[in-house]
Amino acid sequence: MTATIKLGSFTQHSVNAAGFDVTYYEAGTGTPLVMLPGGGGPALSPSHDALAEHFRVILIEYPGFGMQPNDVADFDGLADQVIAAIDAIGLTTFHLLGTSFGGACALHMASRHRGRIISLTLESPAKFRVDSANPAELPPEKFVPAFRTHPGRGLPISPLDPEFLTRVWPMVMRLMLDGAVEQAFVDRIASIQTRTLVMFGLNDGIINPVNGRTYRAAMPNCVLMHVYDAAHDICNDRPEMFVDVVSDFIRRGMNFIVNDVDRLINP
Amino acid sequence: MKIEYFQTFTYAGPDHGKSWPAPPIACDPAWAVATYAHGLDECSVAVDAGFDTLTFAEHHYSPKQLSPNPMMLAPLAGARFPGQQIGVFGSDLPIINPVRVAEEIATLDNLLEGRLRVAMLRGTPNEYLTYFDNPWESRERHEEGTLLIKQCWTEPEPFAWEGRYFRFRNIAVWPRTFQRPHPRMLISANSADGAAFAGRHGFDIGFSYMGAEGCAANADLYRRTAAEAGWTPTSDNIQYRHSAWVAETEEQAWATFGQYAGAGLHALFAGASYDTMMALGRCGMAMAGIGRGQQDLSGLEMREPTPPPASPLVPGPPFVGTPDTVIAQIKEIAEVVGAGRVEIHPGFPVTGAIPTEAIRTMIAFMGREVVPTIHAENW
Repeated sequence: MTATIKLGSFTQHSVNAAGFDVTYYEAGTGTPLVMLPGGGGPALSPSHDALAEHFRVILIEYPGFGMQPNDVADFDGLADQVIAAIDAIGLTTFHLLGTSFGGACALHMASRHRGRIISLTLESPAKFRVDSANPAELPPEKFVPAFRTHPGRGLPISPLDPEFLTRVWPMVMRLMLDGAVEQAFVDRIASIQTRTLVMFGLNDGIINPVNGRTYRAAMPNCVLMHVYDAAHDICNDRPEMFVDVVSDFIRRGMNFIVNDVDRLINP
Repeated sequence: MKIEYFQTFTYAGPDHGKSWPAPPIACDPAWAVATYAHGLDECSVAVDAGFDTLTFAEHHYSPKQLSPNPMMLAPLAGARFPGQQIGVFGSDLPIINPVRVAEEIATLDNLLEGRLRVAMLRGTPNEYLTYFDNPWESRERHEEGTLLIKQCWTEPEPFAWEGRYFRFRNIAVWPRTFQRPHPRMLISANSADGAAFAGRHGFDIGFSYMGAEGCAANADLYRRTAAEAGWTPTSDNIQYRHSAWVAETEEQAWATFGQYAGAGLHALFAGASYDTMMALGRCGMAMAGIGRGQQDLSGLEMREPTPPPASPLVPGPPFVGTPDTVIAQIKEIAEVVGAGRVEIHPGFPVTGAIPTEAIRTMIAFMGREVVPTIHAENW
């Protein structure tokens, strides 16, 4: 495990997949929503609890983020390992939500296992990182505002644990590469027909929100959403909005661009 | 230094009424037609007089300013006066759809081929009674709406916006703005919050009617927040608006100004009853950030109309007097505030329209006696 995390409504489980004991956290019933955490490892926030009121939420810890080292060479390899864990959990199709590093992993999963994924939500995805920052290199005074516009909301925020950094960060950086926009990968995601929502906080100090354009320009079934008053950690900066939007997107798919809110004041 | 002409399109008809909102029955379309014709003719004189920019604003339900949508007036002026700079100062952003504003300004910027600057303002307190909007949300809606408009002009891909007050799931503004990345945007710095917001985001600032000292404090704040954001405003980024009347003698200038100014700024948007006045005052307090719970006005007895609560805005003196007097006043604004642009409108027509002939004569007089000096000086 990366750290002791508050479980809230979640319960902790483990499956054996791809040669790893993979830890995951689960709550809720109904339509499955698989969530892939950021490079800091899994954390359960009030948003997770709120989403679990509507969906069967499964938050997966990546192989290699526990005590077993993972020498996987690239994101395709990690995507296959995560799919193996999802197979072991027993899911065939599911909605997928990836945060930051998890957004990059989710994108690779969608490009390799597209029949499995009903919808794809990328929260501050880290695949393309033009003019962006490495959180491990940020000075303390810039670390918090890069992640949060409202540090008092949601989970407490603190710099990454040095032990975790030493153990896991080399793997994170190995998979993330330099964040440049490679045309070969852009061509690859251009064939993804899975309905996709890409969310960027306007105040994101980790991944420059301009990178959102690359997804929107390449992916034919994609909505790029700019989130006002939020930084990199959208789900903790604006938790009510995050749950509202993600739930709406999962329920209605691309119909979520259609306003179905009743505006009749009185009959 | 630059000098700009603010055309308010004051209703030219005989009955201005004394309250806001003015009953539409008082509006004679023939006079409305004349108002726009007179207004554009006055703009023509201003262009000939050397004013650098013609500016227009948004105000509602009032004969004092017949311009509920300046987007409809600015292109008329732009077409009639080729090469003239146009300012839309501004849109009352918290009460209208920001994406619509982004579309309209983008269209206008192309029609004018880039001769455009714009302001994103919060309006006067009465604006919040126009479309039944919540004045307590004014500042936050203004800031979010301004950044949304900027995003509309700079985001090359279709996008959704998930704000605190605005939600759009599908935005792709056509045409793109003629100016890249977008027309210059001005924010009112009458409040410290507005000055800081403009500094943080690289916008121009404008002051209206405030005294020089109050402006100077907010201008300093603007420059400090801009420096923290990594840029340095110049005097050209700072504008100051006030009413003006210039004549050969002080007595002549004040006689005309006093004849039309009536009770001054408050009378522009005065309510018809005590209760309405208090409601307007409540809107003003809300815009100043005073909470709902701090101003329970229930239980008051009905009284005769009295002026609304004092505005936090401390007005400065209008530009009234001889050319030397007015030039000295503008110099003070330039030196104390650091403004490189001064925007004037003729008189303060509260009690009735100033005859258009008098306005044209006054503008031409300014063109001879004031404008050249303003242009020549670099205070």
